[in-house]
Amino acid sequence: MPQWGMTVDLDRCTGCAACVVACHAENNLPTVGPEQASIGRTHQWIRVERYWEGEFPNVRAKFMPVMCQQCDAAPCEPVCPVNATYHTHDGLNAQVYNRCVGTRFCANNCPYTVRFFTWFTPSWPSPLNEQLNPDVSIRTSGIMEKCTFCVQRIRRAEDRAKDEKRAVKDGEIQTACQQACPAKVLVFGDLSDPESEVSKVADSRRGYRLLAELGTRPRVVYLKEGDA
Amino acid sequence: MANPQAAPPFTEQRINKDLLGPLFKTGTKYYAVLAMLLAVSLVTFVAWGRQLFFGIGLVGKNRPSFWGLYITSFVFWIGISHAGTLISAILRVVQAEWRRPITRCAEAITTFALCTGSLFPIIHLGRAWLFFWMIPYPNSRHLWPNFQSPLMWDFIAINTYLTGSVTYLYLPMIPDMAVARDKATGWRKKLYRTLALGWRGTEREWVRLEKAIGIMALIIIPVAVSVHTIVSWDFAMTVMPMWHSTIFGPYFVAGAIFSGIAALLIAMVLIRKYFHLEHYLLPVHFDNLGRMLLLMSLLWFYFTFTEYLVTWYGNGPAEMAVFWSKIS
Amino acid sequence: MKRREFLKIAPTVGAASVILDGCGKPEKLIPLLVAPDDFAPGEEAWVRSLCQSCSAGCGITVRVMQGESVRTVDGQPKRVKAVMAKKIEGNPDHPISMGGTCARGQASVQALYHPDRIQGPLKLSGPRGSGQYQSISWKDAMPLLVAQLQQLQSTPKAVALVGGRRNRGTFRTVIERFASGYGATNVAPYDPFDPAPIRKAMQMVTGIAQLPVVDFANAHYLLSFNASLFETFLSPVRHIYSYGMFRQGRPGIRGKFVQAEPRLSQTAACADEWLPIKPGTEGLLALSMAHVIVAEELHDKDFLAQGTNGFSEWSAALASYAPETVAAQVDVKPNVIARIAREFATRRPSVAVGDSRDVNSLVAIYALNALVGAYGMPGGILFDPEVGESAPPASPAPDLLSLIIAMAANQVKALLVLDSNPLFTLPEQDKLRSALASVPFIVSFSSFLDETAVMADLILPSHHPLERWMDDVPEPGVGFPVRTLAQPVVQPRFDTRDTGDVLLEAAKALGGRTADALPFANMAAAVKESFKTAHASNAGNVTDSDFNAFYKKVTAAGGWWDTKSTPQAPKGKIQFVAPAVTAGAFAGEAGQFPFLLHIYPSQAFSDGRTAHLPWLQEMPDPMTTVMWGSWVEVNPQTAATLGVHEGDVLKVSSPQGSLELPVYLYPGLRPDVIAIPVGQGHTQFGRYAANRGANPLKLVASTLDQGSGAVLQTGVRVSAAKTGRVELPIQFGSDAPVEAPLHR
Ligand SMILES: Nc1nc2c(c(=O)[nH]1)N[C@H]1C(S)=C(S)[C@@H](COP(=O)(O)OP(=O)(O)OC[C@H]3O[C@@H](n4cnc5c(=O)[nH]c(N)nc54)[C@H](O)[C@@H]3O)O[C@H]1N2
Ligand SMILES: Nc1nc2c(c(=O)[nH]1)N[C@H]1C(S)=C(S)[C@@H](COP(=O)(O)OP(=O)(O)OC[C@H]3O[C@@H](n4cnc5c(=O)[nH]c(N)nc54)[C@H](O)[C@@H]3O)O[C@H]1N2
Ligand code: SF4
Ligand code: SF4
Ligand code: SF4
Ligand code: SF4
Ligand code: SF4
Ligand SMILES: [Mo]
Repeated sequence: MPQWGMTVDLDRCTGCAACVVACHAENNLPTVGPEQASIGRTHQWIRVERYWEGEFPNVRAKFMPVMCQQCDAAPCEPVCPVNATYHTHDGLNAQVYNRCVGTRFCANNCPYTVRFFTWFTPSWPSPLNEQLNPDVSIRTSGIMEKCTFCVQRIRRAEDRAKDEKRAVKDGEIQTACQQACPAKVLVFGDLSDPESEVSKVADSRRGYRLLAELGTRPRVVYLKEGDA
Repeated sequence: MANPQAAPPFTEQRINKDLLGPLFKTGTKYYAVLAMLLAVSLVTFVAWGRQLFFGIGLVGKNRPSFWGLYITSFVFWIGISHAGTLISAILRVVQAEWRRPITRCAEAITTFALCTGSLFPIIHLGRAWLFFWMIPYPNSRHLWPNFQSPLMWDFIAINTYLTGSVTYLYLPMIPDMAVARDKATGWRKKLYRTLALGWRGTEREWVRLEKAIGIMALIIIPVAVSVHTIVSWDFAMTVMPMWHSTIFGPYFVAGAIFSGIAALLIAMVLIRKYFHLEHYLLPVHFDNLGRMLLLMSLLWFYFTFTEYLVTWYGNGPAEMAVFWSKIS
Repeated sequence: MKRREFLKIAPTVGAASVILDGCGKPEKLIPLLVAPDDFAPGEEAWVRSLCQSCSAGCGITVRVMQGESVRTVDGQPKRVKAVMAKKIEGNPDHPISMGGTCARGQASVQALYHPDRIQGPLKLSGPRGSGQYQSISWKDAMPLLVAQLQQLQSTPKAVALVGGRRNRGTFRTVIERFASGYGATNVAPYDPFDPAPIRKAMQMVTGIAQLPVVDFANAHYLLSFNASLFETFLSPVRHIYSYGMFRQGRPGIRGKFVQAEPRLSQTAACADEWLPIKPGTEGLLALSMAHVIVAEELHDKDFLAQGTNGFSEWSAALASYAPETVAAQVDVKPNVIARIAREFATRRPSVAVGDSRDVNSLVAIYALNALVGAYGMPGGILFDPEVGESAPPASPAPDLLSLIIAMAANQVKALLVLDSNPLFTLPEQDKLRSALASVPFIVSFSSFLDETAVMADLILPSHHPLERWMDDVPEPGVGFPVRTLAQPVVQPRFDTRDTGDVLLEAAKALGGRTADALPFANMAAAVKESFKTAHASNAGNVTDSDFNAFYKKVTAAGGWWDTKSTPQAPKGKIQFVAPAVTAGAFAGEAGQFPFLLHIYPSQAFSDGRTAHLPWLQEMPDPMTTVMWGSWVEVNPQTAATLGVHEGDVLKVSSPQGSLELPVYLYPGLRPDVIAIPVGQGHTQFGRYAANRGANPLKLVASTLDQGSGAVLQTGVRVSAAKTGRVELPIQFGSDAPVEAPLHR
């Protein structure tokens, strides 16, 4: 059983937000419009945080893409009263839209604030809907959603590999954000395979995990700036 | 009132007149109040209907206050519900005899506050029509609720508490139902006959009833304490800064008793005035409750102070961010 | 067709849609009550093509799937089977994109399925600008165009054509041959952020009029002046890819990056050091660094001796640019200038890149590359092989400003507008608007009712890039030959026609010289034709002795490129051009207008051309996280003196005009500068773009740059006054009062 994980090399990231739009395109994320956006209701399964540091003229800005960290000890999971969010055997924090009753408890308990609630049923004025990805369900009003590590891509690749009677190859699965990123900031793969690229990158001395002190055991490893 | 021999001048006849009177004649004021409350309910249901139809986005909530008024209303009403337990059960257990005229009122508040409070977890759902998925019932898909979730604990605790308090309200009412049965005519007689459960007032019945009430009083106290502790765990079991505090259990219980007493006092003032019970609800009751209110407010202040003090002393960056946003 | 066959055919035949899409002909429309046998929903195919959202020319690969679509057939909505584009990814084999895309590239599929797309030819039915149009058929529309052209053929310069900068490849050939064949056409390209000065500077320095290929992926030191490498400058995706390599792509090597510009852009945010220079002093800074390098003899003497001309005169003239002399003007400490110059000269391979309105400043910046021997070297500036039709015209084309004068003088009888929206992007839009009133016939080829299209009498909507044939030679490229192919990924969604085909058809109808100049059957054939040279080279990513077989491979690969060809060397010797740099001028009197205005193309919308896409509107701006609007950036110190806070609406006035926008407190901005992004402020352009924010281009003026022949913006000073209104810009996560930083 593969254990999916990701690395984010902050030293490569330019904050260009291609990953953000790619996730919208792949995962049927709705746009909510200015009124809803103004009260903080946009859906960004991956966001690029920008931190200002210092004051003029010694000011700097740093970027950090943040998506669901697919925590091994995910605090969002135990609080869900109906098991709508749970852990899969391959290490994903899964979200079952059909089962979600919309308590928002999981979002309250995600320290990374990467869970997004569907406050209203979204609409795509025709023919914008023709772009929608049929592999990903549309979330109606009252449902929680979040980065799935593009689970539809994982399953498609696994199906294909199974049809061809082989194992999934390293690098065969790319998440949408990873694929879009021109700087190759993101690497996705099987952390249980020491030979996979993601395992090798995750071993870097620059590596750390976000809010690791909370004990959530994130599956996403960040690499800070600096020499390897 | 279950045993109305509080003061010598009260004859049984007079007590029955004073206390049963409102049961048998309905004044215009009653209808006015009823209409007003129905209007409030109607507005509530229209608002909720809109929320169900258009989407829960109609309530102006968003990150980080995903629950907002719903959780505060929930905590508020569950807190109020502690009136009955404390006043009635604790005072009974410590055999504070002055409690007698106020216990019924307190127990009723408990039950109704619980009913109100338990609506909020349903109203707040994104898909409220699916609330029953939180009920563990056998189903062909073998889908069970998640017993790890504090919301599930809430669900169970509130149901337990509700069952307990209804029982605890009802038991001492049995002899009174019998009195009402004996005085009533028509459909009311049928109603009270059913509710009186064939009470005849024999010595044996009284002994057993007292025993049952005593047992319920002992059971209901830990249940009440656990309910508000569990409500506090909705917060305390998370990893959110300033939510996962170890003092939330007693803090919430203290706050609940505090607001429960306050609610009881308000109810007593109204009942005393409008049902003309000046001779039953005496200054001593208000005085004693007032002292308890003072005690609980001091306790509550202590917890609040501690909450902020510990956060400030700990000086965690995430905690301090919330700290400043709360106090500034 | 069975699923398996779909999968078998789709990847091998480039234009999967051509074969798979049954919806082109009405008789094949199938009501989907009963799914047909050959319906394979959920099966995917990938078709390679070209992103045309900016001039970078990234190769893409598009995921297409069969599904059902509701379309209007004979006025009735019908559910039909169709192939639809789902997702755009970078073509992993393409040398520019290297598999990546930018946010605008990702979002461009929304333009294909935009609810406000023009769905067929339109004829004006109300007053100009009213947006009242009547739908007409192509059969009726084409004669309207052809008749006008026929009538005006004998009047010199009666027909003018305004185009954007990005036309390249066969499409450019068609336009130019149409213009020369027809004889009466004035082609005025206009782009508000025209890189023509860079091309001119490169021509002066290297002898090749080409935008520079900056190979910083292989450099150890990158020195950038004003270039917004990762937002909109020349080839953003290529630059972002290079940045990843520059930082962590080479074990043991991590490049150093210094950015000099008045505002800490997204690019500067990535730099190790940011030099907040005064606007317009980039050339002075470059020369001052050159002074240090030469004075300390850190320059590459071998390269200078063998590959350059004019060094001694040039170095002698550097004397007046010593750090101590220019430091006050540039506002960078002399020791910092000297230190950066030393680092640049010693940590080779190093490379300098710059963007400026001033050709002389650019010449100074690109001369730095000669000092470190960066020309033609890996990690330096590479040269693209010259490709005939892609090169800029030898003599500067008539510019838009003189065209406006001609229009106002009633000399222009018909105007064709394609791939540009000057009524939004030209500072003198009011002048242009009134000049348009004197043009009797305006044709637009726009896909959207933008500010310019809404003035047209006839709209002949073009295809979306995913529906058309195109070929493209990127400029800048990567230093070896590249010809990218754009092919129809899906069948046209609406009743549109490729503008190239419209011009070809018009040429045929006109006959004579125009027809002779354009001997192509259609764009598909012309594009195919353009790959003949590549075929003949018998090298590159795909080869085949048979041209048809070769072209089939090209469609599958998404183009042709030859990574193994020998890199181009500079044509002759690198020329040191006598330094002639002064600090940039800013119009307006300093007392009345205390601040310098810095406008920049926004990361999401560039010059505004992608403001109609909802994904980009809701994409938080990388630096400010603002969505759905625009803002004015003010340094917090300046804000304190102005007495404004975040969200206070500020009235910014220049000698040209004024606008009102909410303040964003921007720590990375010089206190004497006020910055505003370009892109918002549309009055037209569909439901998502219209009436949002303000267009700062109105604050500046245009001027014709004699050196490059481009119409550029002038620098202006502005004043800023509080209006008293408060209007917080919509920011991502704005409602979270405090967000605990995730950093450790
Ligand atoms: N995320 C998510 N996962 C789910 C579910 C869900 O709701 N959501 N639902 C679950 C349920 S209820 C089910 S039943 C399963 C269904 O899961 P699967 O049984 O995997 O269902 P399909 O993908 O519909 O079809 C299986 C394969 O059968 C092939 N096939 C079609 N006809 C024939 C035939 O005549 N002979 C043979 N040999 N092959 C044929 C198809 O081409 C396809 O490849 O998915 C389960 N998994
Ligand atoms: N188009 C299409 N149709 C299909 C199929 C397909 O692949 N495509 N597959 C077919 C197959 S194999 C199957 S099994 C069926 C499945 O058909 P359905 O059983 O209709 O399947 P789901 O859509 O998964 O819906 C289950 C419903 O259960 C609700 N639900 C979730 N948890 C609970 C709970 O605890 N209690 C209750 N009461 N409800 C709950 C969800 O909200 C959802 O509305 O569909 C069949 N039809
Ligand atoms: S696409 Fe890559 S470089 Fe751009 S913001 Fe995302 S992670 Fe960073
Ligand atoms: S990041 Fe948040 S949503 Fe994702 S697994 Fe961790 S706690 Fe859950
Ligand atoms: S919002 Fe949905 S997934 Fe989250 S805790 Fe509630 S029911 Fe579970
Ligand atoms: S992994 Fe997939 S779902 Fe998650 S952020 Fe990236 S694109 Fe979105
Ligand atoms: S840089 Fe972006 S918009 Fe420009 S061609 Fe490349 S992907 Fe398209
Ligand atoms: Mo099933």
